[in-house]
Amino acid sequence: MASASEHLTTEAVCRRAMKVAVSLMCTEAGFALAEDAALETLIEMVISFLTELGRSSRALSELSCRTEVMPGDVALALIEMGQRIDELVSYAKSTKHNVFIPPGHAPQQPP
Amino acid sequence: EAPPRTAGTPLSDFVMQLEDHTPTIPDSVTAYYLNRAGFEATDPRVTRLAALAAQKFVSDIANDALQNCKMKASGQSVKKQPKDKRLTLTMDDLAPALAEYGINVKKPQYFT
Repeated sequence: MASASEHLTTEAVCRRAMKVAVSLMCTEAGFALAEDAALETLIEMVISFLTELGRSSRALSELSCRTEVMPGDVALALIEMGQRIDELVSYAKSTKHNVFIPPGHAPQQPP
Repeated sequence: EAPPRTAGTPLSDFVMQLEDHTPTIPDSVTAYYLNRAGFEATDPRVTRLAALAAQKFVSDIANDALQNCKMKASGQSVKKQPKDKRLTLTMDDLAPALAEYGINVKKPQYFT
């Protein structure tokens, strides 16, 4: 597995990126500081959420005799997980969210 | 009482809008975790939809924790309040917020 650093596996890199992203979301909510244990709990939960969403969407797409996951499958998986799509739509529109750009994709600084 | 259900915008319109919406969680990171679950997303919009859902999930919990934190701060007497007004996300605030979502966390003993 190729990664940015030789000493880090992809998993470690993704976890670090997730930590930055979760921290950003906590800052957005209004927190200035965070306990490490609380942050790690949140990271663990996002990962569980994404894993369950991925597994569930995959199963739904296979149920429809497809190999590719369509947006509808993800929506159905979200509904089954108890999330509300209409709230998601309003959340996406609500505010300008912070964006964390991973280092590999950072725009080049003009000289 | 539940809000009245309206048709709203169709999902396809929403998914089209995701094209120029950048979620907080990077696409590559979301794709990695989805891939681990057997989800091979070729359409970046599908990945963004998943990332946005995860982002909302965390934001909702963080907001609940923030309310707990503020309530706890206002309950204390003025003298006891620390000078530092900055809010800290602690396990004590997070645990009740998570309990509302049916997740029971126990503080690991001797965890630093």
